[in-house]
Amino acid sequence: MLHPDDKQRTQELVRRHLKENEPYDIDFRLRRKSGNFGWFQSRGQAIRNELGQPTRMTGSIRDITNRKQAEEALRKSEERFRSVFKQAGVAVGVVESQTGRFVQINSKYEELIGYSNEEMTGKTWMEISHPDDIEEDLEKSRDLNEGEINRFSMEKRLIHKDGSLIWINLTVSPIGNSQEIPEQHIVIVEDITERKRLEEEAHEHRERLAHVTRLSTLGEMATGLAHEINQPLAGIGTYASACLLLLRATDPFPEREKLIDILGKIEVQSRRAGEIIHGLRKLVAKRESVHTSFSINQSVDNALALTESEARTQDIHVRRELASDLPRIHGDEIQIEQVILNLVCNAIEALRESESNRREILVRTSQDEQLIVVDICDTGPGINADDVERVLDAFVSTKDEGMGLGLSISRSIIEAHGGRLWVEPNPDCGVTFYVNLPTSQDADS
Amino acid sequence: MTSEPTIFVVDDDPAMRESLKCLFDASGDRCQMYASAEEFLKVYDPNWPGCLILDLRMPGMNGLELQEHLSELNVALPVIMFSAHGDIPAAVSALQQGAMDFVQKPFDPNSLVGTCSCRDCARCRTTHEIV
Repeated sequence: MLHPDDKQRTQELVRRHLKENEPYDIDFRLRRKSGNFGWFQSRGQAIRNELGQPTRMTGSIRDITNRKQAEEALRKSEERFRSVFKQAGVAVGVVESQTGRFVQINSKYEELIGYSNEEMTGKTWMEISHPDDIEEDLEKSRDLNEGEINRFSMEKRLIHKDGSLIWINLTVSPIGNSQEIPEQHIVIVEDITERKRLEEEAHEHRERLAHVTRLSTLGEMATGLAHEINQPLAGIGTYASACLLLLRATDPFPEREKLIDILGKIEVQSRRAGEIIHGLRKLVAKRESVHTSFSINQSVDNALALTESEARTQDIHVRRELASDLPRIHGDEIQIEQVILNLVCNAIEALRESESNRREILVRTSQDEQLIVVDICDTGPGINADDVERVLDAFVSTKDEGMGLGLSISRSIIEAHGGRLWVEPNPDCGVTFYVNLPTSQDADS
Repeated sequence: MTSEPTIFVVDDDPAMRESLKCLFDASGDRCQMYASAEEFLKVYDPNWPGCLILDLRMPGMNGLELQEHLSELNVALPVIMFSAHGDIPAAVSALQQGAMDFVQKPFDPNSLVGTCSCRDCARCRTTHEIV
């Protein structure tokens, strides 16, 4: 009845019990009637006579097959975990949930961080994290401990033993039963330094290109802009001379009201010139991308202010239909303004070649669910069907002096903001450029 | 409407018109403002004496075209052409067509008053005396 593997151990324990008179507690396998072995726990004690000799046994025997199976499953699962942990192709570590101290890291983690498992044991994850990333990680770990989330991922920087920074994608989940506060967290770390570097390069490249195109757009606009600035300056000078004439003529009492009126006009004109210069400097400055929340209608107004005199001299009528109460956009205001400026300049350029009597540009803003739509519609000669797809590519231009960078950089700016830029021919004449941008609420979520 | 010498100003920029009006009012010269060449042509009588200040770049008929049109009509109104920086070829054609002066914006208002002021202008005085 007793399993052959358990026979010797069981008999030995009983023998020892009889000799030393301690209660016994033995687990062993017995063959059931069905022929299968089941696990049983036997506890008991020998009853002795007055001479101290054992006469009979008293105690209990219990079927513990289920418990034994569960224990076995657990042991196997732990073994599996250990082998996965050791051999995993990604860096894995175990940390104490309360202190953040490392309990263990695998060899991939050792490779990544430069410290050995022994060196890491006892160190906390805070010691190897970039200071700016600790707070977010702490907050999420707290949520994990409080059971509000059951795992989290974040991108952060670790500090290698040699002091260099490693960009990682971190995933943390608790070890053990989800009902109680986990004692340990398992952390899985993926090295994304290379991806981050490429992203950063692409970003810098786009910034540089955006700057160069801004400069070249302004270069093309230089004559119109000089005119635009000279207008108010000429006004200022003329008003000022009028004041002097009045002051000299009407001795001893100048015409006070008239002077106040004219000086007020000088103020307005100098502000007008200043605003144009300010707008230009913002566009020309080499700058880091700054993300703020702003109004698209303001961007349209700014861009149209810069192109106003050019449009006027080309005898082009610029209309705007701007929707009120549009949600704000989150992004780089200057870059979006640059895109609108590019598209308006493009439309002016198209109309310059046009012989048509209708010389119109219509700039509209509207909302389409979670998207802000800006469309810029011209009555120019339009684009060939073949060119509609290609016109947004870099170095493709239908104009003789164009480099074709303006539209392609515009598209990459819009796409970097999570939006879309495309062009469609109008049913009658000219084309319409469409810009889609997600609203601020959308970008935050 | 007017037989007194007048400075006629044609400029599409409202601030430019207003400031010139202030200037000529202060200098004591008669002046009339027009926002476009078309507006000027609608009311102008070739017998009116004076001079014409024209902006080169304007929507519709530009300064050069108006100057050309007037010389086709045999109007001998002296023309002072205004322009932004960089319109040298246009300046040359304006002067070739007989413009009295070519002024780049921003300009010196005092010398403009000197050029235009009808009291000092031999042509206007002559015209005026004849009339």
